[in-house]
Amino acid sequence: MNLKIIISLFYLLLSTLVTPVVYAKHWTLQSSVAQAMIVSPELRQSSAKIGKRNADLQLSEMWPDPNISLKVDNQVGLDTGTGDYALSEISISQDIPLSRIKFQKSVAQAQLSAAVHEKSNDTLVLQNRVEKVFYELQLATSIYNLAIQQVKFADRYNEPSLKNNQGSVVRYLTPLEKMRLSIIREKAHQAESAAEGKLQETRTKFYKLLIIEADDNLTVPELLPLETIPVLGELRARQVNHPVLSTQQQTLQAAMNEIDLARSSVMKDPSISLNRLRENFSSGTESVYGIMFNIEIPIHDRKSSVVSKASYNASQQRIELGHLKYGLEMNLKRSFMHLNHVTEQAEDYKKKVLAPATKILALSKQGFASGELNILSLVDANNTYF
Amino acid sequence: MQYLDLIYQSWDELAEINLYTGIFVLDEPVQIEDKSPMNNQVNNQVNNQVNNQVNNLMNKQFVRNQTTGEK
Repeated sequence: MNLKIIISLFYLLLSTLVTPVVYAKHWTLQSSVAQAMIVSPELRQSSAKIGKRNADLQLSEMWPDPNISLKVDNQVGLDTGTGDYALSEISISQDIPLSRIKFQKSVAQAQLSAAVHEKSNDTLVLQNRVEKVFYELQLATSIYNLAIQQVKFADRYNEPSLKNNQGSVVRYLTPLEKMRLSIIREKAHQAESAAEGKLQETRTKFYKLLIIEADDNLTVPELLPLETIPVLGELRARQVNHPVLSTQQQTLQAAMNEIDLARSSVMKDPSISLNRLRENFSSGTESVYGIMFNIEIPIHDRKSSVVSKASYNASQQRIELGHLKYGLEMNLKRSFMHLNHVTEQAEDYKKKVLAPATKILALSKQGFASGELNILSLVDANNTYF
Repeated sequence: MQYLDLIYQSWDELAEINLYTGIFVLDEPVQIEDKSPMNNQVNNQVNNQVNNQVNNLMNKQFVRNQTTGEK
């Protein structure tokens, strides 16, 4: 008997230990952004682009490899009468990109810098996406909680028999009043279902963005009103260092460096060659050494066309920079005005609608319970509050 | 519910402001400043052009708002 009790207790203890405890994961904006940044494919792509530009910079500093030519023929053999084939000429040549390397490097440096700023901008865009989905999730959670509150309120008045405490007033409800209360309850349940559906939809969006497992127990902080509004002047001052502008500035810089590169690359790089030749002389076969310098003769004027093309590209980038600055400034002003408007509206709504509606609902509940108010007052208070 | 929606709208608009201003929620990346004189000259030129355009447009908007009384 005692053994059976001990075994039962053991299994009970074991089952308690083995049963997984479900912890609700609490997500903050910062933790959500951090998670998104870890898993984001866009940021990985940006990092790969930086790596590519870094490799381009290393390549831009490298000189071209030298060439070696070997010539085998029977010229010497024919002269000596043997007719044998032998190595008759060796030539080593090297292109000299003296002016080109410097400009090539400056273009690559600007392109690398642009890639770094582009990654910053991609990070900013990603963080913005997470911010928006996070606030949406906060809203959906708050609406769902409000819907639950509404259901509790409606269910309370639809209970078949209210507790008949001593001294309390027991109301007789007419069939019409009962129908009205029933409608309130059904509407509350409909609202709860809709809110739950929206919450699930927003959660799915959140899981997808953060690439996490679906978790019905996740929680987010309560959606609270904005406490402070930033100052426009400070925002405008910060906007100067916006990563999208820095990216475009570096792209423009690269385009301007390309003009210099185009000027220096119009002609083919000069080259120098060293060669050794086997020749037959009266004294016998001797090696002849020589040095040769090659340079292109610019007969056709390609320079102006190539430089003009690079200049137009730089001009295009300059216009794009102006366009981006203008767009950012206008968008900032518009959003700032809208933010002020919405914040004021929320404060007004809280003072002029929400506070009186809360009070009316509480008083209506009391009035209905005491029999002073009829069902219509309660219905009206319910509709105003929720 | 309408109150919640207004609060949400204010946060959503703040997120937009962060996007247009370049304010990061986490780990602001290091900004590489370009000190080359050519770039500064270009930047100043573009800045002046943009400032003029924005000021002109805002002045026009202000005049229109005063006329129509629209916010």
